[in-house]
Amino acid sequence: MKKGFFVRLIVCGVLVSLGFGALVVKLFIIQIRDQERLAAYADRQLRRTLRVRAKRGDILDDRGRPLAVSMDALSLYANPREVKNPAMVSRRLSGILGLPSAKLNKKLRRRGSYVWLKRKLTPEQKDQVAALKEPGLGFVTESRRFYPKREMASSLLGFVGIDEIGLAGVELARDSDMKGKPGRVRIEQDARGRSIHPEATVVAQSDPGADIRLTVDEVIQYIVEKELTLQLERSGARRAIGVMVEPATGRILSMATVPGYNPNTYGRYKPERWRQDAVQSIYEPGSTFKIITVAAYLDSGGKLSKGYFAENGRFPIGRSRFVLRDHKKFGWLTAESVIVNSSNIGTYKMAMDVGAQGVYRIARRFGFGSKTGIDFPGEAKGILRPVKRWSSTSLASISMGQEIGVTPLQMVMAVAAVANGGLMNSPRIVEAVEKNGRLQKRTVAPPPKRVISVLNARKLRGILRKVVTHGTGASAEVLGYGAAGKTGTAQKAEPGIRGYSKENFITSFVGFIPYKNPRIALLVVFDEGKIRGAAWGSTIAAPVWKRIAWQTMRYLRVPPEGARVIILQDEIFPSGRSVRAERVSFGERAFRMVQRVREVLHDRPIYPSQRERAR
Amino acid sequence: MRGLDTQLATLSPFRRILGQIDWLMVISIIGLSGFGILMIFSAINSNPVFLANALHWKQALWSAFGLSLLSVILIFDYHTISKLSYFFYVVMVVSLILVFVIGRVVYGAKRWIVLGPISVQPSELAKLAVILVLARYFGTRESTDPLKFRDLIIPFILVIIPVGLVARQPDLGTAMTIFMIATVMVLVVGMERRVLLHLSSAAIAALPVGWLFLKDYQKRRILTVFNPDADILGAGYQSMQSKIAVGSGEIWGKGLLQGTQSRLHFLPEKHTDFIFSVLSEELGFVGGAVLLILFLVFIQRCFITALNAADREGSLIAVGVGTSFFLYTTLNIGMTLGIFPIVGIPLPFVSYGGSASLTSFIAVGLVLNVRIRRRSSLPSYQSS
Repeated sequence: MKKGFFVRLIVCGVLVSLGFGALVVKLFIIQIRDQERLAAYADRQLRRTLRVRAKRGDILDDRGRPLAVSMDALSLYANPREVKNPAMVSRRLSGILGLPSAKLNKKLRRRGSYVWLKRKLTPEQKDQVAALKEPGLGFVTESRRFYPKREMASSLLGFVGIDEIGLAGVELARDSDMKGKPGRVRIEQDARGRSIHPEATVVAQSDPGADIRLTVDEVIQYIVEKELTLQLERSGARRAIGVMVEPATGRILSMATVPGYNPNTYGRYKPERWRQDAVQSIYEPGSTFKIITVAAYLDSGGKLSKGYFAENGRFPIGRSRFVLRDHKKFGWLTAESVIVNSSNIGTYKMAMDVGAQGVYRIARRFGFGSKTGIDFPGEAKGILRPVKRWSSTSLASISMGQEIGVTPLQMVMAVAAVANGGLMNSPRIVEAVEKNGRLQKRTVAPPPKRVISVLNARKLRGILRKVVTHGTGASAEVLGYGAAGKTGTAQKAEPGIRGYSKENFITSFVGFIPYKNPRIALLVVFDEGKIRGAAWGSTIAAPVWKRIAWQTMRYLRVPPEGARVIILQDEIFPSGRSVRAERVSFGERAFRMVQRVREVLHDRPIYPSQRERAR
Repeated sequence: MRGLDTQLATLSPFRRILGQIDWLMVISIIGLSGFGILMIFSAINSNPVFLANALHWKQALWSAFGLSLLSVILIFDYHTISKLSYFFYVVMVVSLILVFVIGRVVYGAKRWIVLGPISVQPSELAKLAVILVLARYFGTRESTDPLKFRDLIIPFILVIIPVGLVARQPDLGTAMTIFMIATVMVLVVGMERRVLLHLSSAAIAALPVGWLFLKDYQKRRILTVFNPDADILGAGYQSMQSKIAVGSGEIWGKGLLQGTQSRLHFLPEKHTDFIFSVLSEELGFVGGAVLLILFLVFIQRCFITALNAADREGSLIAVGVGTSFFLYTTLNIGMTLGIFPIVGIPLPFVSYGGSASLTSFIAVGLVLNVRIRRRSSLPSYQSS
């Protein structure tokens, strides 16, 4: 044999050793140097951390009645690999779930180990599916938002999406309070996505969201919506808005836009229906805005006894073609009766005495042209142009509430300030954030702001009372309480044509009650609609205002003027004598109670006590 | 040293064989087989079907059977066996053709012939038959001059027939390995410098052409080696999962039966082609290094046998077998470490598989046979 042969063999042996050396080096690199990265990767694909959504907090009314709640709902999924007979299963499921069989069949034949069949089943559907006992079907607990009062307060509450994220209204505004902290669970799964341990390890407990307690009262909201809807149907109006506020605190007691929608099935409505017009839309307030003009007049030192000549119902402005008209020939009026009779010409002359700047300044001070800062998404700030952009006719228009855009909320807050002696509160819709019935945080209201003097506020209240007793607001009077307020009939700006419609009006009434010690300020607005062929604030809005105000007074147990307040409780149920002690039927007990009440009261009128109301 | 020879000559043939056995080699392959059975047990532990079939015990049975075949081979002089090379070769080619006729399709390839209860993989036999036939061809050549072009024609034909048939199955990995074994054997025999130069430049020129003949999935697998993170869920999935398994093993490993990558089915083919990943994950760098050392010892013993062989025929058998184990080992482990593309090549002695085990033991038997009948117990390259 030749030497070259052996040399080549030795070369082979050396190459073999080098090859193995390379393998060891590579092994070292992977196992020692890259170990951390690769081990982390292994961990990642093995362990999966799932977020478990926390229970969303409820929305409650001011007395804790539920308006929006979250309930457990089961969602159905399938593992297509384990479903034995997709055609048969999909046929059966189709009947239960109300989904097309072909679609289900396609899903059941899909690749992969997880496919949603239907989210958030009803309890009956869940039971029926469970009864099938088909392999490869499973349920996952999810949460479903439920609005037990359906349409009521819908545009106020808003709604949530499929993943329980607030999309509108209070649901959106206070989403972060209600959503809570999601928990985390860790599951280990194999390459086929099957979890290895049946139970997941809880890494972090989910923290349920807090409840939102509103200032809105369910019953008042109901009263407002009911009355608005009745008048809406009678008048054929497109929509109606009602806002009620507590002047002393700024708490919103009701905020309604009708027609509403059912938030449980919000997707079936056009998005316009979701809008909360009290906050998110603007309108031209018309004569109700004369309240602001008078406020400016008083603020500038004007006297209510001053006389104004209201011409003979027609008054051209400057050299323009614009002619102010009154609905009646008034002749001479005092400043007070200008408002009481809602004379446009008189109001304009008063405004001219104040001057454009003065009117603008007071309007701004009352909050027009800026957001109220209410905790609600999408608030409009309205339109109030600065004086330098006013035309020669702007002062006339604005003084009587045209050429200006306000939100219903701005309007009612301005009147509430008048009712509250010139102190303006910020509107509040959320009373408190609570958890398990315990207070977490209370909404802190900023201190009220003085917009006009106490004296002027008192004068204004007097004027507004007179509007009801002697003027255009007569149909708003609530016997025993004393309403005060102002009608408004505004021409509606027509989209498309420049200028105003002769057909369509926005009618409104804004006021407060009882006028001596105002408990509520209320605005109702109707968009279009006619009663007996005409659209007037006095015929459409004022009667509704009256019915709402009266029912609210009764509900709030506000004693009427002149009522004697007697605390009856001890007389009817003298201590030491229990009605309960006798074993009598409920009916019998009720009968005896009524008898007893009659005895005690004789002919005294029945009103609940102050103490009771204060609760 | 004469005395030793005469002493050996007086012993019975059985004692003589026993005395000359390369125990280091035997111990290393028994160690490797032991590793294999252990890791197969671990790898199939999470698969109830495989576990019920007790694949690890089957592998133990195959190993025992292989060891006895090995012993039988030792009795005959390797020349006697070598004389039958052409016969084996023809049987092998026929069985490769039979695969196409009565072969069983597994994963889209026809690689198996079913003979009653057992199935045979003729491509495994092809490897052995090619080694034997080439050793026979070059060993019986009159001249020992460097090979000329025309000396290469017959060996080329002998090699290309089985390589082509195996590649058609398709089993490109095995086909290429057989071709490389043959190439190494020819290189060791030695050729004229001019021939070597021409052939190597031709091979380099052929590489791009070969690329065109590859199937798309094969191209993707090759590209993955250069850019392993490009397609982790597709072509790079197996490679990535294997690397994850190896990497998460660290120094000492997760412990037997503790490897999550294999137990949770992230690893493909874990009891066959990717057995090294399982081993690395569960026994760590230490386990992997011990296995590599065993392989290195074993393969180096093959080359030392080649150095000491009585003649060129024996030497070439040892070279062929050594090269074959070297290629199988490095390709398989390189594949699990992401150095080489994924080719379906088992790890000798360790991966599960009957045909592969038996051929491995037979191959070892041949090398041991050559060693027993070596020229002298002395390293003899100095004396030539």
